[in-house]
Amino acid sequence: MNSRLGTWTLGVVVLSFALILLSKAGMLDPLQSRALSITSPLQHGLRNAADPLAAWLSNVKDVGDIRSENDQLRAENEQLKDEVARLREGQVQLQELQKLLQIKQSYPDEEFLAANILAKDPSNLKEAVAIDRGKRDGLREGMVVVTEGHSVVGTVTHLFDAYSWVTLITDPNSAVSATVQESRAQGVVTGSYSRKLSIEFVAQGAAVKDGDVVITSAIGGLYPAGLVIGKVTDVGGTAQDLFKKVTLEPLASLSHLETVLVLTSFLPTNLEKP
Amino acid sequence: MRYVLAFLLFTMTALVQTSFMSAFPVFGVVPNLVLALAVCWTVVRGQQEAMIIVPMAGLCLSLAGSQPIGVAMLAATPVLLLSELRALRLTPSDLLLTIALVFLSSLVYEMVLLVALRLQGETVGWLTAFLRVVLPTAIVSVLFTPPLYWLVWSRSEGLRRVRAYS
Repeated sequence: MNSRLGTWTLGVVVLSFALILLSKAGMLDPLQSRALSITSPLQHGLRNAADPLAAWLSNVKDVGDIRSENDQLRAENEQLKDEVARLREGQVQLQELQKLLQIKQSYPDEEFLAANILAKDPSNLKEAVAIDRGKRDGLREGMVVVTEGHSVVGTVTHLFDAYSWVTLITDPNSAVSATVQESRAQGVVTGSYSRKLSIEFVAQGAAVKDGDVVITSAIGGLYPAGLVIGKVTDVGGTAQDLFKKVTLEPLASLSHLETVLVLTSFLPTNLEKP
Repeated sequence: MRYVLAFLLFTMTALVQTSFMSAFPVFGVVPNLVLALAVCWTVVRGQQEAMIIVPMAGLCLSLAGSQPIGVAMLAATPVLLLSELRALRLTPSDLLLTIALVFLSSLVYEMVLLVALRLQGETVGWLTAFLRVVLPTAIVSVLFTPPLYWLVWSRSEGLRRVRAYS
């Protein structure tokens, strides 16, 4: 290797570390925020151009399945599931008034802030999207983001003044305390590198079946109770396993989101209300 | 001027990668077009320009992503070292070499990103990440290399002529 290239490479490595340190200290946030601001119209245009093509390709793959109808039904289904989930929750609340009254009192009013998706993280190792709301809109790290049908999308993980990055629940590092609504089995919903969701730590004896609705539980204090996460698509494992192997799919199509809602009235327990 | 145009090209490629290609995942992943373009540039136009282009490509990826600025630049840096392989003339054609380098660079890039994520406190499933993301991304990036190579090659006629005379 020639020495000039070696020196230059070393210089680039040093510069990279310097930029990482400055970025971690928040000193480059204005630059990242500005880049998002400048490129967001282009990104929006490109996404709009890609969506019909992706829908057409999807239709080619499955002729009988009309994409728009599917999307409409999916949205409708999401809303209905959310309603059913809420009704069921109401029923359970009646049965366990004393226990759940405490939760209800913690989140008396749900307040949402609408936000548009601006960008998606380019890395295949991260599942994150940028939204056009930030510190100046009152967002805080850890705030929960949901779809218009009120199913969980993820949490705010990095804030700029006018923008934020939201880590999706399908991210490999995402973990959400959850309850299987029908059986009340508890577990933790985790993302994966294949963008699929699974529920960890579901007791072997728990009665979980395909189609069961999974909602957030208040355990851990990072999410409010009762938000819909998804529905169970597969229950596996053997009787010898300590826990069931449960996979689920999110009710909302997280890869085609345009608008989301940030739940501003709920703050994780490690944050204080402003 | 050349580098200003290159910066615009890499920025546009990063946007296409994040906004357009993300609607068409292959094997569940999106190709790293920016990195593949940087490697094509390195092989076709030489080390001299690569020394500017490669960090620039990393910066474009950094600005488009949620990771701290500098992480993608650091992950792309090994492309500079791999450019040394070009001088060895290991393959009969530059396209084959480019494909091999895109595969290698992509593997190294994603592995550096994984290390960066781990250092930031995230849990990393090394084997799963390698099989589900790192390897498929390298393969898919290779699939998109020929058109990118052609793009750079066709725009470098003047440079090729100068090299032929010297």
